[in-house]
Amino acid sequence: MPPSPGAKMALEKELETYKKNLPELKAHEGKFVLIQGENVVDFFSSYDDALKEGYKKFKLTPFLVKQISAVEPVFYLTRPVSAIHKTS
Amino acid sequence: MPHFTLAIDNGGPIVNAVVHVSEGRRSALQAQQVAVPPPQNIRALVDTGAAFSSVEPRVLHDLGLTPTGTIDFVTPSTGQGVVTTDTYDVDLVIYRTPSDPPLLMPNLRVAACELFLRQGIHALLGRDVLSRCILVYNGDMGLFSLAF
Repeated sequence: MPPSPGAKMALEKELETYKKNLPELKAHEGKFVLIQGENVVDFFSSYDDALKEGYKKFKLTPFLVKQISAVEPVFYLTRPVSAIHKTS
Repeated sequence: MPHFTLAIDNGGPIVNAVVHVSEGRRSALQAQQVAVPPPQNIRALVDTGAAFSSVEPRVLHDLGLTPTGTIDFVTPSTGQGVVTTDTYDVDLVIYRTPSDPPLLMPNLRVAACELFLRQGIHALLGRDVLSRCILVYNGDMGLFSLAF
Protein backbone atom coordinates (compact mmCIF):
# COMPACT_ATOMS: atom_id res chain seq x y z
CA MET A 1 0.00 0.00 0.00
CA PRO A 2 1.42 3.42 -0.84
CA PRO A 3 2.26 5.06 2.52
CA SER A 4 0.35 7.99 3.93
CA PRO A 5 1.30 11.59 3.13
CA GLY A 6 4.45 12.60 4.95
CA ALA A 7 5.94 9.10 4.92
CA LYS A 8 9.52 8.55 3.78
CA MET A 9 9.84 7.94 0.05
CA ALA A 10 10.56 4.40 -1.06
CA LEU A 11 13.33 5.51 -3.40
CA GLU A 12 15.05 7.82 -0.92
CA LYS A 13 18.44 6.14 -1.35
CA GLU A 14 18.25 6.19 -5.16
CA LEU A 15 17.26 9.87 -5.11
CA GLU A 16 20.26 10.64 -2.93
CA THR A 17 22.47 8.79 -5.42
CA TYR A 18 20.96 10.84 -8.25
CA LYS A 19 21.53 14.14 -6.46
CA LYS A 20 25.06 13.19 -5.39
CA ASN A 21 26.02 12.25 -8.96
CA LEU A 22 24.13 15.03 -10.74
CA PRO A 23 27.27 17.02 -11.68
CA GLU A 24 28.54 14.01 -13.68
CA LEU A 25 25.08 12.93 -14.86
CA LYS A 26 24.54 16.32 -16.52
CA ALA A 27 26.79 15.14 -19.34
CA HIS A 28 23.86 12.81 -20.26
CA GLU A 29 21.13 15.44 -19.87
CA GLY A 30 17.84 14.39 -21.44
CA LYS A 31 18.61 10.69 -21.17
CA PHE A 32 17.01 8.34 -18.66
CA VAL A 33 19.26 7.00 -15.94
CA LEU A 34 18.71 3.70 -14.15
CA ILE A 35 19.80 3.77 -10.49
CA GLN A 36 19.68 0.99 -7.92
CA GLY A 37 20.77 1.81 -4.38
CA GLU A 38 24.06 3.70 -4.63
CA ASN A 39 24.80 2.48 -8.16
CA VAL A 40 24.30 4.44 -11.36
CA VAL A 41 23.64 1.49 -13.65
CA ASP A 42 23.21 2.83 -17.19
CA PHE A 43 21.72 5.50 -19.47
CA PHE A 44 18.89 5.08 -22.00
CA SER A 45 17.28 7.13 -24.73
CA SER A 46 13.75 6.24 -23.64
CA TYR A 47 11.82 5.71 -20.41
CA ASP A 48 10.54 2.37 -21.75
CA ASP A 49 14.05 1.01 -22.38
CA ALA A 50 15.28 2.07 -18.94
CA LEU A 51 12.24 0.52 -17.26
CA LYS A 52 12.63 -2.71 -19.22
CA GLU A 53 16.28 -3.02 -18.23
CA GLY A 54 15.47 -2.21 -14.60
CA TYR A 55 12.99 -5.05 -14.34
CA LYS A 56 15.28 -7.39 -16.27
CA LYS A 57 18.26 -6.67 -14.02
CA PHE A 58 16.64 -6.13 -10.63
CA LYS A 59 13.33 -7.96 -10.91
CA LEU A 60 11.20 -6.80 -7.96
CA THR A 61 14.02 -5.04 -6.08
CA PRO A 62 13.33 -1.27 -6.04
CA PHE A 63 15.08 0.82 -8.67
CA LEU A 64 14.75 4.37 -9.96
CA VAL A 65 14.31 5.54 -13.54
CA LYS A 66 14.77 9.28 -13.90
CA GLN A 67 15.23 11.67 -16.79
CA ILE A 68 18.39 13.67 -16.21
CA SER A 69 17.80 17.37 -15.95
CA ALA A 70 20.09 20.11 -14.65
CA VAL A 71 16.99 21.95 -13.41
CA GLU A 72 14.30 19.67 -11.99
CA PRO A 73 11.07 20.22 -13.95
CA VAL A 74 7.94 21.07 -11.95
CA PHE A 75 4.56 19.87 -13.19
CA TYR A 76 1.17 21.42 -12.49
CA LEU A 77 -2.21 20.07 -11.45
CA THR A 78 -5.13 22.48 -11.32
CA ARG A 79 -6.97 20.29 -8.78
CA PRO A 80 -6.10 20.25 -5.10
CA VAL A 81 -5.24 16.56 -4.83
CA SER A 82 -3.30 15.02 -1.95
CA ALA A 83 -0.06 13.40 -3.03
CA ILE A 84 1.42 10.43 -1.29
CA HIS A 85 5.03 10.70 0.00
CA LYS A 86 5.20 14.46 0.39
CA THR A 87 8.79 15.52 0.95
CA SER A 88 8.59 19.28 0.86
CA MET B 1 -8.03 6.84 -37.04
CA PRO B 2 -9.72 4.90 -34.19
CA HIS B 3 -11.87 7.07 -32.00
CA PHE B 4 -14.79 7.03 -29.63
CA THR B 5 -17.41 9.56 -28.59
CA LEU B 6 -18.97 9.63 -25.15
CA ALA B 7 -21.45 11.78 -23.27
CA ILE B 8 -20.12 14.39 -20.85
CA ASP B 9 -21.79 13.57 -17.56
CA ASN B 10 -22.03 15.63 -14.36
CA GLY B 11 -18.46 14.66 -13.45
CA GLY B 12 -17.10 15.84 -16.80
CA PRO B 13 -15.48 13.87 -19.64
CA ILE B 14 -15.04 10.45 -18.04
CA VAL B 15 -13.82 7.23 -19.69
CA ASN B 16 -13.73 3.63 -18.60
CA ALA B 17 -10.26 2.17 -18.49
CA VAL B 18 -8.34 -0.84 -17.26
CA VAL B 19 -5.04 -0.55 -15.40
CA HIS B 20 -2.62 -3.46 -15.73
CA VAL B 21 0.77 -4.24 -14.26
CA SER B 22 3.32 -3.10 -16.88
CA GLU B 23 4.86 -5.69 -19.17
CA GLY B 24 8.31 -5.39 -17.57
CA ARG B 25 6.92 -5.88 -14.07
CA ARG B 26 4.74 -8.75 -15.25
CA SER B 27 7.84 -10.54 -16.59
CA ALA B 28 9.67 -9.87 -13.31
CA LEU B 29 6.76 -11.27 -11.28
CA GLN B 30 6.60 -14.36 -13.45
CA ALA B 31 10.37 -14.86 -13.21
CA GLN B 32 10.02 -14.81 -9.40
CA GLN B 33 6.99 -17.10 -9.61
CA VAL B 34 4.79 -14.46 -8.01
CA ALA B 35 1.15 -14.26 -9.10
CA VAL B 36 0.38 -11.32 -11.40
CA PRO B 37 -2.36 -9.17 -9.80
CA PRO B 38 -5.54 -8.94 -11.85
CA PRO B 39 -6.18 -5.73 -13.84
CA GLN B 40 -8.28 -3.02 -12.21
CA ASN B 41 -11.30 -1.40 -13.87
CA ILE B 42 -11.39 2.33 -13.29
CA ARG B 43 -13.25 5.51 -14.26
CA ALA B 44 -10.88 8.26 -15.31
CA LEU B 45 -11.51 11.95 -15.85
CA VAL B 46 -9.90 13.58 -18.88
CA ASP B 47 -8.22 16.62 -17.33
CA THR B 48 -6.48 19.18 -19.52
CA GLY B 49 -5.38 20.97 -16.34
CA ALA B 50 -3.20 18.04 -15.28
CA ALA B 51 0.33 17.91 -16.67
CA PHE B 52 0.56 14.23 -15.84
CA SER B 53 -1.75 11.34 -15.07
CA SER B 54 -2.48 10.18 -11.56
CA VAL B 55 -4.30 7.27 -9.98
CA GLU B 56 -5.99 6.60 -6.65
CA PRO B 57 -3.54 4.82 -4.28
CA ARG B 58 -5.97 1.97 -3.64
CA VAL B 59 -5.83 0.95 -7.31
CA LEU B 60 -2.02 0.93 -7.26
CA HIS B 61 -2.08 -1.06 -4.01
CA ASP B 62 -4.38 -3.68 -5.51
CA LEU B 63 -1.88 -4.07 -8.37
CA GLY B 64 0.90 -4.62 -5.81
CA LEU B 65 3.04 -1.88 -7.35
CA THR B 66 6.21 -0.33 -5.98
CA PRO B 67 7.45 3.06 -7.22
CA THR B 68 9.99 3.34 -10.04
CA GLY B 69 10.29 7.11 -10.19
CA THR B 70 9.43 10.46 -8.68
CA ILE B 71 7.87 13.69 -9.89
CA ASP B 72 7.86 17.26 -8.56
CA PHE B 73 4.56 19.09 -8.77
CA VAL B 74 2.45 22.02 -7.60
CA THR B 75 -1.30 22.21 -7.00
CA PRO B 76 -3.55 24.94 -5.54
CA SER B 77 -3.34 23.03 -2.24
CA THR B 78 0.47 22.96 -2.07
CA GLY B 79 0.80 26.73 -1.81
CA GLN B 80 4.23 28.03 -2.78
CA GLY B 81 5.91 24.71 -2.10
CA VAL B 82 6.85 21.99 -4.57
CA VAL B 83 5.82 18.46 -3.64
CA THR B 84 7.82 15.39 -4.63
CA THR B 85 5.83 12.21 -4.99
CA ASP B 86 6.49 8.66 -6.15
CA THR B 87 5.45 7.49 -9.59
CA TYR B 88 4.49 4.02 -10.75
CA ASP B 89 4.55 2.39 -14.19
CA VAL B 90 1.34 0.82 -15.47
CA ASP B 91 -0.20 -0.32 -18.72
CA LEU B 92 -3.43 1.61 -19.32
CA VAL B 93 -6.18 0.55 -21.71
CA ILE B 94 -8.96 3.04 -22.49
CA TYR B 95 -12.07 1.83 -24.29
CA ARG B 96 -15.68 2.66 -25.05
CA THR B 97 -16.94 -0.90 -25.38
CA PRO B 98 -14.93 -4.14 -25.24
CA SER B 99 -15.45 -4.62 -28.98
CA ASP B 100 -13.98 -1.23 -29.99
CA PRO B 101 -10.27 -0.77 -30.68
CA PRO B 102 -8.80 0.44 -27.38
CA LEU B 103 -6.31 3.22 -26.74
CA LEU B 104 -3.26 1.44 -25.33
CA MET B 105 -0.78 3.30 -23.13
CA PRO B 106 2.06 0.93 -22.20
CA ASN B 107 4.52 1.91 -19.46
CA LEU B 108 2.53 4.98 -18.49
CA ARG B 109 4.10 6.81 -15.56
CA VAL B 110 1.44 7.77 -13.02
CA ALA B 111 1.51 9.43 -9.60
CA ALA B 112 -0.52 8.27 -6.60
CA CYS B 113 -2.98 11.01 -5.65
CA GLU B 114 -5.97 10.91 -3.32
CA LEU B 115 -9.39 12.59 -3.29
CA PHE B 116 -10.64 11.10 -6.54
CA LEU B 117 -13.02 8.53 -5.05
CA ARG B 118 -15.15 11.26 -3.50
CA GLN B 119 -15.61 12.58 -7.03
CA GLY B 120 -16.64 9.17 -8.35
CA ILE B 121 -13.45 8.64 -10.31
CA HIS B 122 -10.22 6.69 -9.77
CA ALA B 123 -7.81 8.63 -11.96
CA LEU B 124 -6.99 11.77 -13.89
CA LEU B 125 -5.84 11.40 -17.49
CA GLY B 126 -3.49 14.31 -18.00
CA ARG B 127 -1.74 15.91 -20.92
CA ASP B 128 0.81 13.09 -21.04
CA VAL B 129 -2.00 10.86 -22.34
CA LEU B 130 -3.61 13.63 -24.39
CA SER B 131 -0.28 14.24 -26.15
CA ARG B 132 -1.00 11.00 -28.03
CA CYS B 133 -4.64 11.83 -28.88
CA ILE B 134 -6.99 14.34 -30.46
CA LEU B 135 -9.55 15.54 -27.93
CA VAL B 136 -12.75 17.20 -29.12
CA TYR B 137 -14.94 18.70 -26.40
CA ASN B 138 -18.38 19.53 -27.74
CA GLY B 139 -20.05 21.26 -24.82
CA ASP B 140 -23.01 22.32 -26.94
CA MET B 141 -23.88 18.69 -27.72
CA GLY B 142 -22.73 17.36 -24.34
CA LEU B 143 -20.24 15.02 -26.03
CA PHE B 144 -16.50 14.52 -26.20
CA SER B 145 -14.38 12.45 -28.57
CA LEU B 146 -10.94 10.94 -28.30
CA ALA B 147 -9.11 9.91 -31.48
CA PHE B 148 -5.82 8.08 -31.36
